[in-house]
Amino acid sequence: MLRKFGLRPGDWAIFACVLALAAAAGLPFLFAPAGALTCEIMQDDTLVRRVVLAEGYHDTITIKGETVTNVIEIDGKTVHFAQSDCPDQVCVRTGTLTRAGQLAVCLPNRVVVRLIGAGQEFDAVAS
Amino acid sequence: MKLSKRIALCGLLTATALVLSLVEKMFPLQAVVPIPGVKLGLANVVTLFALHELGIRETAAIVFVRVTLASVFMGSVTGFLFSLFGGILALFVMRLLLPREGSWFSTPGISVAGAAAHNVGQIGAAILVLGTTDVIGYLPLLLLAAVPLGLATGAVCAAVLGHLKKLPI
Amino acid sequence: MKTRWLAGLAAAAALLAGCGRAESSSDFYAMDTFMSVTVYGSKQETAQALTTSIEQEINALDRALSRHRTESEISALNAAEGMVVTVSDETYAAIERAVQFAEWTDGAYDPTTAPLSDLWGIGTEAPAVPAQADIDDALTRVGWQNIELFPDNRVCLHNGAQLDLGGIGKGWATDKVHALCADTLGVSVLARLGGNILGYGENPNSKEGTWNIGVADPDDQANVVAAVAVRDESVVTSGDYERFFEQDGRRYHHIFDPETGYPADSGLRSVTVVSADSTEADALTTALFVMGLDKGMAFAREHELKAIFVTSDKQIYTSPAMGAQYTFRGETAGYTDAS
Repeated sequence: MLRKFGLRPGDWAIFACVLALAAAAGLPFLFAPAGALTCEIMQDDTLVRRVVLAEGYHDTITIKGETVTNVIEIDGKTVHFAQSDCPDQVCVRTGTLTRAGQLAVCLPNRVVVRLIGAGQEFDAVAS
Repeated sequence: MKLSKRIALCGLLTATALVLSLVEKMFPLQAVVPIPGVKLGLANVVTLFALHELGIRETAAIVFVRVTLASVFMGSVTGFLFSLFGGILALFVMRLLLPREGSWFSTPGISVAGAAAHNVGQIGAAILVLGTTDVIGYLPLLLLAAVPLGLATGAVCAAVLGHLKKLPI
Repeated sequence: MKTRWLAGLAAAAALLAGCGRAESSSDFYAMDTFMSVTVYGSKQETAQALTTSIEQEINALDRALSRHRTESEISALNAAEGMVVTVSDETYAAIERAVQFAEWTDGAYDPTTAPLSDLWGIGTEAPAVPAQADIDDALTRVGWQNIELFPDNRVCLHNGAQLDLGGIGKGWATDKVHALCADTLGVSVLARLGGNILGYGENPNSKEGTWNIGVADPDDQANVVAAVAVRDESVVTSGDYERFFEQDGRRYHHIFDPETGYPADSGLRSVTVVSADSTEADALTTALFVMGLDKGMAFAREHELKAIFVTSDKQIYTSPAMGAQYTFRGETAGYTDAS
């Protein structure tokens, strides 16, 4: 397969350089991987998205259910339900999640958005 | 190659790169590899091709116009800087390796180097713009993805170049 | 040499962090809400088994106690048109407790307000303020005195009353979870059943071993206005923000005053009750909300209940029994600690 590509010896040097660079960039994170603020979006029992949050990262995720569609916005190190066409709007009113341990739920669409990471202050929030 | 022909080819390649940039938006690669900034890098095919057929100045112009227009179409300002840094760095790295193409390196190999350089440039721009080194965390996975993705786009480019030899441009 | 040193460090870190700890969690939907249970134990199988049995138990309770499931015992009772119905031990015990709470709180908690929430259309696509005549008509069917309990698990509803255990269902389920945890040796459990939260055993993630539970800001439920440290206790909050609609600039929520037939307008935004008995806490959050701050606080003092009241003018009051378990956290959101 690779032969068909006509790979040259120097190519392996390129691959080695790229992988070495990857390892070098990843090393500091390997030792502290658990702490990073991570956003996890689940629908029913399926993971829709898991992403480590960082300043300046923007993403809009649209989740279509049988009757309800949610729009979730990731903005830097925060995440919130931007829109939902469900009648109760509980998810949108939950507000913006900024700290590990927080979560927002859209019951009609069975979507759960939560932040995980180190420094979780509250084990749970009663609401 | 005549000047008018070069200009026409530049325009053609810019349009092709732009279309490829838009097309790859339709592939939900981020759903498979959950990191921001991961993409197929189809536009890199054009960069590599242009380096082959034109010069570094023309290629730089193509990259700049493609990145600018793609950002305008997709409405992302921060994305513009990331892509521009990535695109320019990829261009220089590939230009450095190109004289040894066929002897030391293959076209797909150079494409991998270009893809990796693109990622490094992207993250470098992100560090400058956002003022945080947190984003380096994305780099290892982006680089790992660069190897298969770069090989794929490089193979496409090699195929295109092979066929093009038969055509009189 | 260097690699060996690194390996030793890694092993030590693993020991320190793990301490042979296993963790199992499960997220699921039951009783019209989102539930999340995390079990910490020394063995993975034990933790896993407990998580599974908790989920099964809650689903079974949901099937028996739901008013919205046509196959439930409560639905059968509501459809019996005043005839005597025999129910299971479990359902009977739950109804019995609901009636006790209604009597205790002088009807502030009432398990028969379902005709009111149906009339107002709370939780439906088109909620609206009904005509006074319709409210008066619905009120004739409201009243816990209409529930009559007979020996041998027999129950009967008079005057067209409809029974809804929604006000204690999650508390009842939380107590079941508590009992299941107590039957399993050496586990710690954090169970989140909608607004009912149980922190059981020693919290492995805190120095003190207690569970730190936040009380939601009614205007921004991702954030908190108070914190409660608990162990083997549950924290239950009821608020006007959970289910509501707005009409002509006014907010109408889901906690009804059985006296007036309108959503309780008591100047409160939320009530939180902390208790080892989650069924009681569940019923009391509703009751204290309906009573309002003055009557509710007097009731909490008299019965030494742990309660937190959040008022619409952004004041937070706690009952004396709350003690040092409570920490005020509402300064940034503009709340004042009034206790």
